[in-house]
Amino acid sequence: MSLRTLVCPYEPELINGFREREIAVRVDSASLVREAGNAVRNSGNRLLCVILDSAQPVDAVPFEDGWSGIPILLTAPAAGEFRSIVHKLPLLRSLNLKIYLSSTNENIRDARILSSLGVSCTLRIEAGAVAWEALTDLMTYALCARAPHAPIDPFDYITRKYDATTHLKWGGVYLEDADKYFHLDKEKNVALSAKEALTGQFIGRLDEIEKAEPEEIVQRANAWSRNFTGNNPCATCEGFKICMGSFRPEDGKTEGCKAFFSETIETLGELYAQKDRAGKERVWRL
Amino acid sequence: MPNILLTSKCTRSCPYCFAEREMNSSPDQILSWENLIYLADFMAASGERAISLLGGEPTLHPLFVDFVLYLLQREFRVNVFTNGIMSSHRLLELKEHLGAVPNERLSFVCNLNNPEQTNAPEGQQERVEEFLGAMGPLTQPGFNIYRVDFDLEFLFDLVNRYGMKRRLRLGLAHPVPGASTAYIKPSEIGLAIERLYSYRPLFEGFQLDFVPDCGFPLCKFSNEQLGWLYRIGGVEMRFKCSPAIDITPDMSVYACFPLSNINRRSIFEFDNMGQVVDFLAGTHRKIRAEAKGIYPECDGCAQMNRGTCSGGGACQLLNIFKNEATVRLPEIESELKNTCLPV
Repeated sequence: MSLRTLVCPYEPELINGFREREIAVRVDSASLVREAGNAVRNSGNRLLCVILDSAQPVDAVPFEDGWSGIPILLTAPAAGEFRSIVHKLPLLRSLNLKIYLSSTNENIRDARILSSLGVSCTLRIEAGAVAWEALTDLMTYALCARAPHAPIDPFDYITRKYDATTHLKWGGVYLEDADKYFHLDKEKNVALSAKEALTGQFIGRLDEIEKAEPEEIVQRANAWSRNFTGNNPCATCEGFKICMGSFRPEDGKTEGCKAFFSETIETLGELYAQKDRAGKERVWRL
Repeated sequence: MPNILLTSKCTRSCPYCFAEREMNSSPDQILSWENLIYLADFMAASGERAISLLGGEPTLHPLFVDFVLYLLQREFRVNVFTNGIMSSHRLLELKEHLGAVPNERLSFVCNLNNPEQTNAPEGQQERVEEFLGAMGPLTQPGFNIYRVDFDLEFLFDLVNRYGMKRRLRLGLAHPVPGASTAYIKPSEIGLAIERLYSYRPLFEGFQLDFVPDCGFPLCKFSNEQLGWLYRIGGVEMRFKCSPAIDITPDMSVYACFPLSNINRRSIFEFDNMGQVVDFLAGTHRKIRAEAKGIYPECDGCAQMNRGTCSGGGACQLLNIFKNEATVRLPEIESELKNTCLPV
């Protein structure tokens, strides 16, 4: 069994208990970012990133020069006022920073603004809370805009990893992939997502799980296959290859997600076809 | 430098307004963030580094300050055409967020009307002066001649009092097909230039020069007047009419306000600004294929052949066509059908 990356709260004792693991450490205060990053690096582990869960919008986060060199994953409820952020842009661009926002209409718009100004963003796509139409527009921008812009995930990840002959899992963009990440609490209990860790839905203790992988992990990894055992619209959806049934709204209305994922696949197809054509048209060389 | 129209609303109703028809046909339109970003990308990919913001009155856009800050961040030079009439709140925003932007990156052209010759609601002139008090050094004065007895004296006073840039952007009011706005007829252009020349002592005394906007015919200036123009304005003399390139909030693009109904297209039909310019220059060529200029003597004129003069505005030419037989290209004829200009 491969060793997962550990996503854990900033507890020096917990972190010091690991050796040569890859760790993403979670803090809820900007004042702890540097300290937490250094703590992981000085503990003999590899730092994947510091996750800063901000309750404030991005424009209110007190970014510091001292964060340079630390990979930061900032989750925030919103971007805030553009005129406040604009003064922080040089610093934001100099940091190794990804901003995570939910997929509301406003956040989708703000992700486009920030990306066009060189700040990398990730949109959290969750079943039931997505402005699909705006997200489709953003996807087109992320994949097809000709002017340089910072990557927007999950689109950038999907574009890089897309293979027309197979399906694609991209939960890793949110550090949620049962094959790659374990979310811990300070007692080393393991959950398979940040939300589950927060609500106490643990599947066992880390030492036990790493000795014998529990059934839950396999089930989670193969959850997509259940779409084919019932009368489920996802099973016949053109977008299934990159959705895997993960975004089906609880109310069963799949028009939004279906249109979005289908169009994403179509756009990817065009992009890859363009690349292929460009390759064929190259002048021959010795 | 393409013009992006942020909004179709305006706080003024000038008798010569070029944009009136456009504003009436699409009220309440405002440019969205998404479209602004698209346009910024489009311009950047086309190698454009300067953008003008127009309206209506562009400062009425609720995100005006944010849009300017955004374009500055995208490293565009931004020029704003305003009438200077805005709320105290908006003016405060301008001062706070844009007041310190270097002049070579952000400038304003404030279109000034003589309050004694152009009726305006009470309090508007005070608002204009409040704007000039705050942003005067970033602002170039603008004036449109729409009557031959125009009075410019008020303008020298404003330039002097508010430390405005000492270069006047001087426009001729042009006919807009389908609108009943005031404009200078071809037969009146010489008189307007004479009137302008009578302000020579004031231009020289206040060290104010001016740049003629589109549609001034070279032949209506005497050699003496041209010499004076050259002496006060240096080499920036234009006697041309070419597509200004206006892009509306709904992403339509056309040559300029008076020609907004001819060959109007969506910006999404083009890959870059070069294509837009070529396409709209074609509109001008089609009009000028019918008549070279606004005067009979334009045909065969050496200055036109040399390209130093366009022979007046293309919109003035449409006015000449309107009483002639319907033998022209369909887009020109369809525009003429809506025309009810006084000849």
